[in-house]
Amino acid sequence: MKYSVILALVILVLAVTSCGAPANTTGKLPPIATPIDVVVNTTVGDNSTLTTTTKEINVVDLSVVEKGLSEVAWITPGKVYIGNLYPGSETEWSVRIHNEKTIPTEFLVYAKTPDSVMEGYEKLPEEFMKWIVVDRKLSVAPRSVGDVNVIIRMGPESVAAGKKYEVWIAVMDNSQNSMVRTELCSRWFISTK
Amino acid sequence: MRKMLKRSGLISKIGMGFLAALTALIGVVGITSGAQAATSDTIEVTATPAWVAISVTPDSWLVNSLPDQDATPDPSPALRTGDSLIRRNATYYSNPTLVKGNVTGPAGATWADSECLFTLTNNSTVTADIYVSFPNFTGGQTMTNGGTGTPGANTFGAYTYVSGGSAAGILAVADNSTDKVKADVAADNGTFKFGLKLLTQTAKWTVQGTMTSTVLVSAFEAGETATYD
Repeated sequence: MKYSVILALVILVLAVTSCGAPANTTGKLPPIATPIDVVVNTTVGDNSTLTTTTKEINVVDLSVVEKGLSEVAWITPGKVYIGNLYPGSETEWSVRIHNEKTIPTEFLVYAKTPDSVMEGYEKLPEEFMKWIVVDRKLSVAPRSVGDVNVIIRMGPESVAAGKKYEVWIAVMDNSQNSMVRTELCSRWFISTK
Repeated sequence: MRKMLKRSGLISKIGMGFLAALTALIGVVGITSGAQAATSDTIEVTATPAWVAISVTPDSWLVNSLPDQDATPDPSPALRTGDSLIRRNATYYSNPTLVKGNVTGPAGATWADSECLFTLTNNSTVTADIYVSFPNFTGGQTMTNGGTGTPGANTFGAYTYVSGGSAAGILAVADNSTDKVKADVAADNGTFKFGLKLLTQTAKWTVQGTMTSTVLVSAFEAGETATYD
């Protein structure tokens, strides 16, 4: 009896330990510097007759794209999709900013409530804007790029589970001193569980 | 043997122990099932290879800065133009081809290219949607954007108008416009022309000096009808 009870308690302890607080999953992702599509090499055939075919599928040379935009300030990516975010979890991605000027330039980076949303999504409520953790300013060297890390840290609110939210990460050249200023926005789509 | 075990109470003890273990097992299953729905999963992140960039020229509008081009200048002070001073309870357009400075709307039912001061170029690699917001003025009288388009005692109204668009324009509020000024501007240097319409407050000015508003033109990758699961 005593040993059965002890066995039961041990099982309980193990269960509670393994299924305790939600794990924080940080999705560390590679820098945005690799081609989106790849060159595929396929080898077919048997040992006696090997045949190699190469299939090229829409190879995207990022350096060519970015060279074509060297005279303007730009940001990338245009859209980020985050799926399966759950209460207490977090993930991150980066926004790349290009400084087209010949002098170092400071950019403001901030989360922003969208002006409109994609079909099926709703604006990230104001009370959940705290999920977005991003540095406010980034200084980018002349004719160069800089990456800003954006962390999405979902709170424990269960009411936010099973939702689809859109939020924008906005970037503005802080050196603009004219009446008309431009702001570039990256659209982030968050699907929660 | 059985009698012996029963007499010693061992069977009942074994039974109770088994029951305890079974209960614990049920508890484990219960706890595990309850926690799995909210504690682990694979978070997926996907980014689209799009570069967003726009430029707007010119980058300023000095309201009421055009000289009166009318051969017979209007004697009314309210319509006196070109002195870069704005009057209360007046309407101004960023229209470069006006006869009377910045106070005239479109010549036709819709705005022509020549009547729009600003040119926006979409340098993005994707089509872009555009919003314009017209924040409160700072300095001088510090007019605030009333948000309705209709000026009040100390509030102004503002609109964005686009080439080919209606004379009324699109309401521009202080923080995020309510409607897109332009949707699906073509990628790779697609352009469109637009202008600003300002309706000044109705109350008399109480403070002299230069007022400045920083009009914000926001661009983002155009939307799609498909949804992400």
